[in-house]
Amino acid sequence: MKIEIMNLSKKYGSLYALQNVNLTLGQGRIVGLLGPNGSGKTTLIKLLNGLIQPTQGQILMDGQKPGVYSKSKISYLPDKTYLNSQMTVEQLVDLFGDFYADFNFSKADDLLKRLNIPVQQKLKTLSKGTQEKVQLALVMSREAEAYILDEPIGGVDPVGRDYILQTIISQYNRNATVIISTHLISDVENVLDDVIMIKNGGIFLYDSVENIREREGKSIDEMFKEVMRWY
Amino acid sequence: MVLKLIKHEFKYLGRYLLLIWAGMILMIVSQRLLTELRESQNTIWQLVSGTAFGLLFFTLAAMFLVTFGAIVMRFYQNMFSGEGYLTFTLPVKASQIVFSKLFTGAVFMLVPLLIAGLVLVSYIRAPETWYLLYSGFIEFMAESDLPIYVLVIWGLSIVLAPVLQLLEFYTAMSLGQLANRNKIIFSIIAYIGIYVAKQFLGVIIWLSLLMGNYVEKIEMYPFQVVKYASIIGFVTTISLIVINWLIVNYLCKNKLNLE
Repeated sequence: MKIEIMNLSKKYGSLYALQNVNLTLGQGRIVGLLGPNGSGKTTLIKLLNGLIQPTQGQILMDGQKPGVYSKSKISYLPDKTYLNSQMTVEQLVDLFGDFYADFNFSKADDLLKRLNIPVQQKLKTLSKGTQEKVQLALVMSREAEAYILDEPIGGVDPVGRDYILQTIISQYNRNATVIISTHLISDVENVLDDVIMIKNGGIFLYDSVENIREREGKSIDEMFKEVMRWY
Repeated sequence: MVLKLIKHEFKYLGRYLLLIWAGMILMIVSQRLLTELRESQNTIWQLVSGTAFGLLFFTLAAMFLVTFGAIVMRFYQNMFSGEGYLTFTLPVKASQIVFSKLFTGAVFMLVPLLIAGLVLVSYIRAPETWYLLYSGFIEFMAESDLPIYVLVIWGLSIVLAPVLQLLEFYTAMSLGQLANRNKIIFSIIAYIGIYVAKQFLGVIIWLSLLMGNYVEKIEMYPFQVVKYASIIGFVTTISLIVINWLIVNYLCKNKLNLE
């Protein structure tokens, strides 16, 4: 899926959460959307998913504005619990399977088993960590053209982070674009192809990990810390 | 897709409401049976019967309120709270989502209406009463010369009244979600605004009727006035449903604000 972002701005009151963002993302890349807390990562992701509306500019996905088409192609993991906690995991699997034509039941079954998730239990009876695993399993069980994952390792311990990243890397559709938003750069650095660095609502770097390392002679994490110091 | 949305709405609301309804229906049946004690000579039984009658009315009203509250809460939670992240990333149109919720809500609102109707009917047991009602109705229709479509309008108005009420709440919540904070408070303020606007519209309609010698005409042609008042009321309801529907769809499609 080709994602084009043109002159995109989002304002809350008098404050710009995003200002004049221009980006074009191609398919088959794992892109890290990196930035400190409050930099505008989640705002950009919500705009991509049509959950909020831009103040200015537009987003096109395969030439179309966010809508039914893009929603059928994008698998989105928000940074919060978004599933109905009264439903059992089984019912949630049915719900995803009902609406997403690209939902792979056998993949979901396999993932849920591997993650030791009791599928007949209601979501509200599971721990917060397990609920997050359920969300991840459902999102990664789609054969989507783009995966947009907002802080998938945000509230997880270091062992859990590796586990989640491995799940993402092993399950995503190889032709898809994967956008992983995070401020925990050292954890994701090794799985990324490209990096978008965002600060105060503006993009200040978009390049491949390889180019950045070669040019700067340091890791993405080191470079990120250094650059952020000057902002 | 809209059928799938309706299926999931029915499943969710059904799971939630069936248990509550079962308890309430049990209460209604027992209260209804206790009201039969009114013909007893014993003062205590008569007192029990009177209390049961009051409780029966209260339980029926509670059934309406609980059902309505559950439908409205489901709308808010599923659309504008955390669950909205899933609802609005399903590959369906916003109008399909709103329609599925409105349709399911309207069907569920028919249940307490049906129960209230059954309770009412249960009081008319003697065949003579049914005959009296029937002959009275035939006489009324002959005397009033009201066309059959007025009866259809009355029937439809009973069904459409809760639909409009639901849509007004949906509109209020769709307006309330535009605020970045305190969305529920803004929804309540929006509902008050809608209510005031509706009352104002009602006053305008009645004032214009009064200015057209409505009172005089009531005395001269009472049934004709009933007919036209029914038509005006029905057209107003339909218009308000359409207006609210358009507002909710516009806001959910173009002004969604899941902050």
